[in-house]
Order: sequence, then C-alpha cells, then structure tokens
Amino acid sequence: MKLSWKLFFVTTPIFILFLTVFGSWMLEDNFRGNLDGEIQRCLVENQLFQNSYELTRNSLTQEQQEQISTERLVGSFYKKKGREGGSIRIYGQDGTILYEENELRLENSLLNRLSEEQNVGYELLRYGGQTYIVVMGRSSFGDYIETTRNITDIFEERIAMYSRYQGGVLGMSLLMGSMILLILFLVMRDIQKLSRATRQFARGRYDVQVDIRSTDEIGMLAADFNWMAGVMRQQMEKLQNEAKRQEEFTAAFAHELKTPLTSIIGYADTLRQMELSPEETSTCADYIFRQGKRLQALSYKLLDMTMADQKEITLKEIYVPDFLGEVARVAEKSLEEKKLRLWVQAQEGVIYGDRDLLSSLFLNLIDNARKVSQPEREIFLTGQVVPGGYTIAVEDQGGGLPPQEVSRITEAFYMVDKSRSRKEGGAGLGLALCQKIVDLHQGSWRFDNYPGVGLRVIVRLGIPEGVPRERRRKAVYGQSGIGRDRS
Amino acid sequence: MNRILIVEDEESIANLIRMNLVKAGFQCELASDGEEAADRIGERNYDLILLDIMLPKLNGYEVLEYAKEVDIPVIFLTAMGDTQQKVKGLKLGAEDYIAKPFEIAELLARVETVLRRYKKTERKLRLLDIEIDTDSRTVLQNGRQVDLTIKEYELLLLFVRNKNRALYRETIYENVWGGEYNGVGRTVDLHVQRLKKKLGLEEHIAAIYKVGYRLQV
Repeated sequence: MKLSWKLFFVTTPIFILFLTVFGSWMLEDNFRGNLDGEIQRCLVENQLFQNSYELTRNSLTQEQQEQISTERLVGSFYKKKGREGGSIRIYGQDGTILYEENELRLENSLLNRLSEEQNVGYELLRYGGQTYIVVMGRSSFGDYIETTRNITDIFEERIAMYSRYQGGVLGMSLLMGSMILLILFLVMRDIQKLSRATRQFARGRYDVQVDIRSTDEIGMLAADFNWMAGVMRQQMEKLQNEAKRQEEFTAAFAHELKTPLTSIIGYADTLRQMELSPEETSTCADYIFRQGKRLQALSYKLLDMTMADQKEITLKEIYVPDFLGEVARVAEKSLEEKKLRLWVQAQEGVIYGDRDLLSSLFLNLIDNARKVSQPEREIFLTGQVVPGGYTIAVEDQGGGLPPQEVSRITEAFYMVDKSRSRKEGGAGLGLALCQKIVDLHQGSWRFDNYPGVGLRVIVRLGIPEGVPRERRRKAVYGQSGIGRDRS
Repeated sequence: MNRILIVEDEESIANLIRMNLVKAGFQCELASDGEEAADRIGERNYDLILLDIMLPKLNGYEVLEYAKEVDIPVIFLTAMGDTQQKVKGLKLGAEDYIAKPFEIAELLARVETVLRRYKKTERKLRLLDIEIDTDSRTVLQNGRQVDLTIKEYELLLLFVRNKNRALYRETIYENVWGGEYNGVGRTVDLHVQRLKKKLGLEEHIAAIYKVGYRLQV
C-alpha cells in the first residue's frame, strides 16, 4: 500500500473518532445544561404558583375558604393554558384532586416520596411520545401542588443537534480526508520525482537535476540531492580529467621513451652489422651515448616526480637568504659552461616547506633559465616578503616564450623548442615536476612572460596553518634585509 | 637510384635512417618538420617518403595528403604502439608503417617491398655473374637458369639487398621464415650452405663467428 493511503487510513478514522467523542461530550453537556435550566425553571414555576396559591388562600377568611372552590381560587391568579404546555394540579392532604387544569395526568411516585424533610421533588416522564417534567411541592396548607411541563423541545433539539452534528462531522471528514490526500499527493509527487531522479542518476545520467522549488523538507531533500549530484558530477569529471591526463601522460611518455630507444637500437644495430669508417663509428657511438643520457635524464625526472607524488611532506621553517644561497651554489656549476651569472637577492624571512623539494623546484627553474639563455647573460633569483607569505622569483634574459605557449608549458613532455630542449638534455618534465612541488606546498606560481626579453617565474609560498602568531608576524613583516649578491 | 625523403624531427633518428639507406644504395633527403616536407614534395619528385607522425607545424597525416596528390608512396614511422593510429595511417592511404624502435633490416625490407610494389626498383638485380629477375622470380648465372627453392631465393634476395652487411641468424630467420628465432635450429645454416653451393658463392658469403653471415663483394 502506498504511503499516502497508509497515512490517509490512519489519520481519517482518528479524526472522525476524535470529532465524534468530543462533539458528543459537548452536545451532551449542552443538553444537560438545558435540561437543568428547564428543571430549575419548573421548580421556580412550581414555587411561584405555590406562593400565589398560599397568598390568595391566606387572604381569605376561614369562611370564604370553605365557600370558594379551589377552581375559583386558582382562577383568580392563574390563567389556563393549552394542554400541550402541560398542566397544574392540586391534591389535597388525602390525595384527592382539588384542582386540575386539564386531564393530562401522568402517573408518578412523587406523592409518596415527599416527606417532612423534603417538600419538593421532580420526575421526568415520557408519555405519548412527549417528555414531561413533573414537579410536586407541598404547600403550607398541607396540600400538594403538581406542575407538569412539556419539555419535549429540548430532547428534540438534542436529536436535531446530533443529526446536524453528524452531518457536520461527515462533511468535515470528507473535506479533511481529501485535503490530506491532496497534500500527500503533492508530497508524494515530489518524492516520486526524487526517486525517478535517483534512478536516472544510478543509471549514469550524472547531469540530472530535480525540479522541486518548495521550501519544505522535501524541497530541502531535493536541494540536497541536487547538491550531491553536482558534487558527484564534479568528482566524476575530475576523475575523468585525471584519467585523461594520465592517458596523455602515458602516451607522451611512451613517445619520449621510444624516441631515444629507436636511436640507441638503430645505431647499435648499424654498428654490429656494418663495417663503418672510424668517423661513422664515432658518430654512431656518440648518438648512442647521448640518447642513453637522455633516457637517463628521463628516468631521473620520472623518479623525482614519483617521489614528489608519494612524499608526505613535513613543512619546516626555512630561512630564505641561506636557502637561496645554497641553491645558487649548487646551480653555479652548471652555469659555468655558458658563463651565465646568477644574482641572488633575498629579503629576511622564512618559508615553510621541504628543503629538498624546494631546492629541486628552484634548481629546475634555474636550469630552464640556463637552457634558454645565450652565453654571458644573467639570471636573477630574488626573494621578497609579501603579505601572508613569501615570493621567490627566477628571472632570465632568454627571450621569453611565444604568448600562446605559456598556458601549456607545465604539461608533461611539452617542449616549446623540442630540438633545442633535447640538445640541452631536457626531458620535458621539469615544469610538470615543479608544478607538483608547488602544489604539494599549497603554493601558487605565475609566469610573467616578456616575449623577446625574458621570462620571470614567481613562486608564492604561504604560511601554513598552525604557525604561531609571533612567527607569522616575523615571517610576514620581516625586515627587508641586505641582499646577498653573488656573481 | 631511388630517391627517398625522410621526414623526421628527431635529428638522431633522421640521421640513422639516412646513414643506413645511403649505405643500401638509396639517395636520401631530410625534412625536419611538416611544412618543410610539404614544400619539398611540391618541389621534387621522390620514389618514397618515410614520414613521422608527430611533427612540428604540420603533422604526418597532413603531409600524407600532399604526398598522395603527387602519388608518392608513404611509409609511416610511428612511436605509438597504438593500433588505432596505425589503422588511421593505413586508411588514409599510407603504404605501410614502421613502429619505433625498429631494426635496420626491417626498415630496409619494408622500403624495398613498397618500392617493388610501386615498380620503382630495378626489375633486375645483379651480383657478380648472377642476375635476379624479381618479376619472374628467376635466377640466371652466366645466362643459365639456376633452380632455387622459395626459401633459397628469399635468402639470396636478402643477401643481395644487404651487401656487405653482417646478417644475424635471427635477422635472416625473421626475414625469410618469419616468426621468432629460437636460436637453436640449424635451418639458417643449412640453407646458406646449399645456396653457396648452388651459386658457387663460397668465397663471398662469409660466416661470422657467433653472428651469422655476410655477403662481401
């Protein structure tokens, strides 16, 4: 059974039961009130009649009392009414009827019940489809005054009220039932939408969105679903992109591997099959050697990248002027051949990171600068304190890049100038590795490209969470120190 | 003499191919990118183009279009093991492909095959007093026909095409018989002995210790 029917069948009977019980109680209470009021009125009426009777009788002399019939006596103060309203009767002490308004005579036991202590009483009686209240009081003359009143009205009113009320309850129940069904239907429609969307999502339609605009819990659930679907889709896309990048990397890697292998195998094959002149032999050997070196560089870089990938880095405080000094000392050797000059200038300050990886990052950047530089040019390595971190820049005079190449240079195996890069022993992995290191340090970097002039790579390293405030200040507002120029 | 255009941006590989093709008696020219290749195709006539796929400026597939216009057969040089790329190249109209890395003998064999298919090789190969007609697959010595089995004929062709080149037993086996050489069988040696005897080449086909044979002229 559907949830909406379940809810319908549970709520509607409860509603009807509640209305019935509560309504009956209310009606009964109302009826009781009416009845009590009527009884009081009848008692008062009886009392009033008795008072009038006694007063009139008392005003008569003993003589007159005997001469005048009770009929006349009553007639002097009471006007007869129709039989339907009821009747008044007066009994003597012995029970004989002294006066009778009309012949409506209802059997009752009141005459026997009255005593010295209790001189008034009443009884409800049904007679001929009508309901009457009979009140009997004992007058000071010792006779009994019985007043009978037709109170069928209140009983009929009660029945009428009940039937009206039942109609009301029925109507209300129908209205409420249909309201509940309508609301449930609306809610269920939304839930069904959600359920449909979920099924679609499960079948791989990751762009599915639920169109529910209400602000209730279902609306919130729908919004949550949309949010979840969105996040999942992003994740999925990220994974797909990742897989695509991996695939591209593998393809590029296979290409990079096969190129030197082709040369090595080919020249070795030539050497072993042919009798070559000494010049030819040395050419072959040279190619084999150089391509072997290339393979070696490739494998080292790959190893570095794998290491960077797997490394759990611990961020250690590094004093920048010393650090850049070390980097420069290592780099200098490779710069000698081209007679390049490396200028180092660093403001006082610290960065947080893995010393080895950061060394590798800046050595790679300097090496790139070396590859593009003409002999006797200059390379600048500068450190600067910036709000919230520290930036280190490597700047060359190597002529910059064609503007359209800038966005691609961090791709693995991408080389702006393949033949020159190969000649310089590049594997096309340097910047991809650098990117990894920058990412690992949650830093950022920027390429300021000046075509025809040079390229400036600016690496920004932030201050990680958990560094004490005092240290942070020191790191951020570190004094601008004396540069350590080297040449 | 057949003229071959080598389109390869990798200098070491380009030189490797040229060195070997020149030694095998071809005339070679180099182009290091797609544009240069297209220009050269427009300027001169070649018998065959060896074309790398990943090239600067224009890629191999684009250069292939130029070659097809002037009806020059193309062999792709591909670094990818990717079947799809091979299929794409062949579908676009390349004659054959050579996957890098390759062995020299394979390179020469494929070049010869394509040239023969295009009837651009000499129909008759000559060696000393032997004349080989590659169309009718007949061998004449001093004008007299010599009966050779198919394998002996293939073996002779391999030697003639790789004059003065040491042929490894595995290379011979793979080229004549096909499949992997297991390194133990005497098939190659037996056939070489028989060929030497039939054509009186005892002095020219030299056994090389631990390697194989070389035809010296």
